[in-house]
Amino acid sequence: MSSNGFKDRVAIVAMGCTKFKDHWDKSADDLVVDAVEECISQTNGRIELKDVDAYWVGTQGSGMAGVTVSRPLHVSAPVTRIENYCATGSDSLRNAAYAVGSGAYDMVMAVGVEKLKDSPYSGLTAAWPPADGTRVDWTAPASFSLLAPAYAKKFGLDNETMRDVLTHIAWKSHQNGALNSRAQFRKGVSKETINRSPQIAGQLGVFDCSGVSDGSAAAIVVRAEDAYKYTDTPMFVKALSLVSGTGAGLRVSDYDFTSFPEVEASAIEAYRQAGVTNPRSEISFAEVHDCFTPTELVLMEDLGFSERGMAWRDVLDGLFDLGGALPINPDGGLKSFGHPIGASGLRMLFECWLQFSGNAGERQLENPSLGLTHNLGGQPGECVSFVSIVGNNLG
Amino acid sequence: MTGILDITQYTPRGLMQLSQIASLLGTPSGRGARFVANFDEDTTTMSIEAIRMLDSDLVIGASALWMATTSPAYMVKSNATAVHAATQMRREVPSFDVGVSLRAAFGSMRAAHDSRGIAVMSDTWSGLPGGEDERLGADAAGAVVFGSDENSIAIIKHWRSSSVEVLERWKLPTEIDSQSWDDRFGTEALGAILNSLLESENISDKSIIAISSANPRSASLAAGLVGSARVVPNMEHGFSGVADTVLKLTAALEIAQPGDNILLVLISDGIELVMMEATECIKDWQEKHENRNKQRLAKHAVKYADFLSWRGRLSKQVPRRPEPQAPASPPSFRNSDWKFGLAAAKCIECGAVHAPPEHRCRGCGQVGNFDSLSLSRLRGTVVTFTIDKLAYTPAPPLVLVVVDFGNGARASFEVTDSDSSEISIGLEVELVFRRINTAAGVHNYFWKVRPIPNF
Repeated sequence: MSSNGFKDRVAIVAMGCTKFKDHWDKSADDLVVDAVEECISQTNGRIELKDVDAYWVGTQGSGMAGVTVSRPLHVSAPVTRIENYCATGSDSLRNAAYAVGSGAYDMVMAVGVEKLKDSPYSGLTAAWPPADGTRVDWTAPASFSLLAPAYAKKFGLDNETMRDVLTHIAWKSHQNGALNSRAQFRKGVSKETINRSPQIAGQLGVFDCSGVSDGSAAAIVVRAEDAYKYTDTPMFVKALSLVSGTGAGLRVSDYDFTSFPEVEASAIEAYRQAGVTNPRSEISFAEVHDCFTPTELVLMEDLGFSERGMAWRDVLDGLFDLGGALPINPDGGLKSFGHPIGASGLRMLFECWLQFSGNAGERQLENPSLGLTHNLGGQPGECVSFVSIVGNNLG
Repeated sequence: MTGILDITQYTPRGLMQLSQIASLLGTPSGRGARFVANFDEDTTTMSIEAIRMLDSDLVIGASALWMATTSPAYMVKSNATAVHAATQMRREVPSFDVGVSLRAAFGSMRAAHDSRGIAVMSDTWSGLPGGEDERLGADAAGAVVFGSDENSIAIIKHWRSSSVEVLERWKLPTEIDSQSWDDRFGTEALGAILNSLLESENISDKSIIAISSANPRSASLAAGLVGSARVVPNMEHGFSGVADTVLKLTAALEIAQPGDNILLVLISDGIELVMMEATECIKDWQEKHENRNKQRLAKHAVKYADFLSWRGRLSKQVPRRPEPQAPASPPSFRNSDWKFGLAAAKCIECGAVHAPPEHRCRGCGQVGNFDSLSLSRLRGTVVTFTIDKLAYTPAPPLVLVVVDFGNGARASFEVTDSDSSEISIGLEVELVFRRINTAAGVHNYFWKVRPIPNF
């Protein structure tokens, strides 16, 4: 099985991202228009909508087929609709990149959109095909809550320490979200409040779980050699990696619920493509899939930022805080934005875009060179993982 | 000679103190408690529990299944076939629902006797809130195996019957609760026949009499007609419809000595009775029965509000979650060995066990060649678990576990009949067949786990 590197072949030259919130007054069509409008208009005339040769649109449940994008934008164009659990938005970018890199198109747009707030339900829902009724209908919090007791037991953390670690992760993300005008939740939350929040599943309280919101984001991809025609601050794609797993974790007796093999594999592949040998020191910042606080904890190890069994220590030491050596989710993460499934992956790239172009405001990091985005969909034991590495320089 | 080879009784873990009814409704205070089936139990699942307690050889070798209940989970569709599937009886063994009246207790036993098969009796018995039927009722099941083995624990001597058309207790199919005429009427109406039938039985003071009736006055009358024979007392925790017959019979067999005569009487739309004689083998059965009773979980106190809610008499606010999806017929049918029999697929080439079955082997990659391996009698070990407070369940909290079976297979289940505090990583659990939910007019049946009681 081969996977040929793609490093510096394509670049993102424009991006747009709506606020993520309950957009009661906007449909999925409206949100697509808003994200794409921002994306196009910031090029100051260098790109018009008619210049886009093809589209990939990611949405889990807010639209079917390419008309999800071609109808609101009034274009007649090649459009593919993508769904890959919570890696949907990222995968639309991945496919857009391959479309440009293959030479089939010169300019491709990736869009992600989700309208979760038109549904009356608490938490995420999914429409499964007809079945025999025997599959446990895990809610997302229940399935991810399995990580916490397993991690604590394996690495010898007592309940109080585990709680402190999870609380720090939630606190840190909300501190960052408070600095972000696009976030759903824009206030810091005290650690006492987080500790006292009502329990949802296992050890997870309300503040351990990312919320539900609406949003959309868009990115324009061109060949790397054309990038500077469109922007002074292109973002070069160094690596794209996707692993969809075997599901063995829930069906075969050796998975121990303390890591995501799919994440580990997708990270190793991404680092190989990008030529990164020491992620902890070479990655400037990362946007990771913090659907739940124990997820973010485990991801630090699966992405190679922490030694196995040591991420909890790194969290408490503030390594991943905005002011730390490796800021994680500087924009506030899924915790502050909520998780409109089709849009989240592109929202992560949008933060990278702002950081590299010096437009991240109070969240601005000093001279970032490599950013990593990560999305995870499914549940511990059976999931899909995406990793991208982007940077502001060639080479 | 045909006799009883084995007999079991199943009573739910739930016990509801009757004083709660008085507290809420101001009705006369009932004393004691009644058995209450869990929200995920019904007459089908309780029948399966009763049969799974029988010697498994007898179940595999049974030549027919007769299932009696006055509260079937389905009508038109057979419930006995679900029991047949979950207890893994052979395909060619006939299984029939014997419904829908209290007389079905004897209907199922006579048919099982004649066909040398299994009779299972199962009922959820209650009535309008604050009434006698609710207070004196119970949920339970029991199973009896008939055969001509020399290891019978009791040899059947004879049956006597008297069918009477009398409107004493009745229910329209569209109603939830049965109605009854004044107890005294029923007792009067059947008194003479009861008297004459009992007079012609050879009852001595060594006889043991077990009497079942939805009319307590009729039962008392019968008890008074048997001289100084021992009479099995009423069940402490309520009258369980057709199951009361098998519970009373079990109670009689518990105290029988070899050579004792046991007379089982059912007073319902007439009189049915069977006379049997306990054999030498009764002692072994009594020991086995005592061990089976020890395997019962500690009783769990049921709140009256939950009882009303589970029985559909009290609708409560539910969380904002989607309705469960009803199982679709084609996938349920093609997966019925898994769904009803908890049958995993074991690869013929490399032995890897798949739960649920898969088309391609995870061990060696071969496609389509698997043997069936039922997991329903195995013990599992909890790998990890969680308490889900977001999902809807009629009996919070919802506990979900991932379980390893020791043969490489792993699967996820809901936990039932347990306080969440009992669940821990490494806990041993057993499988139990339950109704997960009912949606869009379809019952969703599957297996759950519960902790194995330890002594």
